Amino acid sequence: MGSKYLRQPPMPVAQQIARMRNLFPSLAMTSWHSGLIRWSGELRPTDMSDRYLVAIEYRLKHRPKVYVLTPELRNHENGEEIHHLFPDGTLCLYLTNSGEWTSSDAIAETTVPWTSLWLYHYEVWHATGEWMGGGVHPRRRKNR
Amino acid sequence: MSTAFLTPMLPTQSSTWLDDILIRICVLLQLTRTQHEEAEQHYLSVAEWLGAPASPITALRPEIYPQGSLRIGTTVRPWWREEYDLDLVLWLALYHNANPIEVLNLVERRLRDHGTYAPMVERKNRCIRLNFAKQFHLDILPARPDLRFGGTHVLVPDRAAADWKESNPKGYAGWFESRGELQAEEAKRAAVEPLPPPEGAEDKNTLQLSVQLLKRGRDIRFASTPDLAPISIVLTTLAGTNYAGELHPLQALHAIVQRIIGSIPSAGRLVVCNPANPHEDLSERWDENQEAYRSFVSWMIELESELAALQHLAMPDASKRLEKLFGEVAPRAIRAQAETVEKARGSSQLGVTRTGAITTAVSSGVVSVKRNTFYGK
Repeated sequence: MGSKYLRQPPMPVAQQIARMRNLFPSLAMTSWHSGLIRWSGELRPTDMSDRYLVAIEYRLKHRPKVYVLTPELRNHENGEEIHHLFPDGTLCLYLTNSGEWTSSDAIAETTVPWTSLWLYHYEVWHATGEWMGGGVHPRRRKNR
Repeated sequence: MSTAFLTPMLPTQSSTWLDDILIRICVLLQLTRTQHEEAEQHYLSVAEWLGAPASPITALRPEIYPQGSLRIGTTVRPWWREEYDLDLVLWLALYHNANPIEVLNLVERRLRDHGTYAPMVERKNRCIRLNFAKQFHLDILPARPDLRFGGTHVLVPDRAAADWKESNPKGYAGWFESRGELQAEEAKRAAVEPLPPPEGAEDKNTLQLSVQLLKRGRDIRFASTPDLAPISIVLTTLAGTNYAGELHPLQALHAIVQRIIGSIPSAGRLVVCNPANPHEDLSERWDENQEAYRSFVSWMIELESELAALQHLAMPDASKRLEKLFGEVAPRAIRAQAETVEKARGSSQLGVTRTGAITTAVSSGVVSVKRNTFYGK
């Protein structure tokens, strides 16, 4: 909602950190300096999934950036490129400026579950050749 | 030396998501509820026609009941065509030693008198088949009471042998059902699963699923050598005999295959008897076709190592292995699973546990997945 985006104050960084520690203790805060927080740890979307080492970087009021460190993300063996990635290799988890995520939201309650779901669909895509997680593909659409 | 020594008997690790895919494979292969109802309507109509006042069979008080996979809930669509093979017993009150071929002909003639059935009739060795194109083959097997054994024992005609053969389909089904009940009910209820049970598998037990997987695995493995393929009743009997109550499909199938391998004798061959008729050797064709027996043994050893490997593989590799074992139905099952996840996500019933595991089982410590749209190329 646009109104929420405008009105709600950003969640203080200390609160983001506390929320992450409570909900996802396996994602440890590995650094916090010059206003940039970094968490990293393992996520495993299903019990037949790889264990993914991810890093989340957050600067107050900026988009949380999610990196998958290991295993390295790869294109499909049919040559198709990975869906929903920013040019810097971080995951595109929500529609920018749509209000799906605002700085008043807890990263632990938005970014982290979305990352798990993204990883699940990434694996299904490798297995079946189909991205079943939905979403918006601005650039791919233009190419058609 | 028995091959049993080659097989380490390690407990199979169970993965709920992998088991969910295996269950979905079975659901995609079996008769749907609608198809099941259609089959039932068809065979009840057949029974009515055979028992109508004008029918020469009426005096024999015909009764039709399902046997085989239709009765015990282990139907699998053959991979090479659309139609399922469904077996029905046509019980007749024939208490004397009638000519078996005449009995088959009597049933065939009556079916050919029916406008709709006439073009569908096909004469087989032990039954009369009705071909319902794109649906199923209904194999109608006449049977008469076997007075020597009584109970559910019957005699069925054999055209080639011009004789009656022993059979006991109701007894067999009873045995199979009792084997399936070895599954621990309380364990099933206690398990917290990350996904709701797939639609169409609610009332299936693990033994039924194991048999379906074994039959499908057989169809794929012997696709180019169908003459060497072990027959369904042999696989079903081996599965029932070697099942010991395992709860999860992968674990059950792996344990069954390990126990089959363990029971292969070092000399001679494995003999698979009919549990409902112990002196009937269901595997007798292995005597004439030793290559078929050797292929069966190799398949069991291959399957054991495939299943052992499967439990340790992560998704993309596991899916390749599943497709190799069960065919194109495997990626379809994975897509069906992803659709279930998306449906739960759409209705805000999806959550993530403290380790990042996706689940539809909401409990404390589960963070719900808020609405989002994956964006970007």
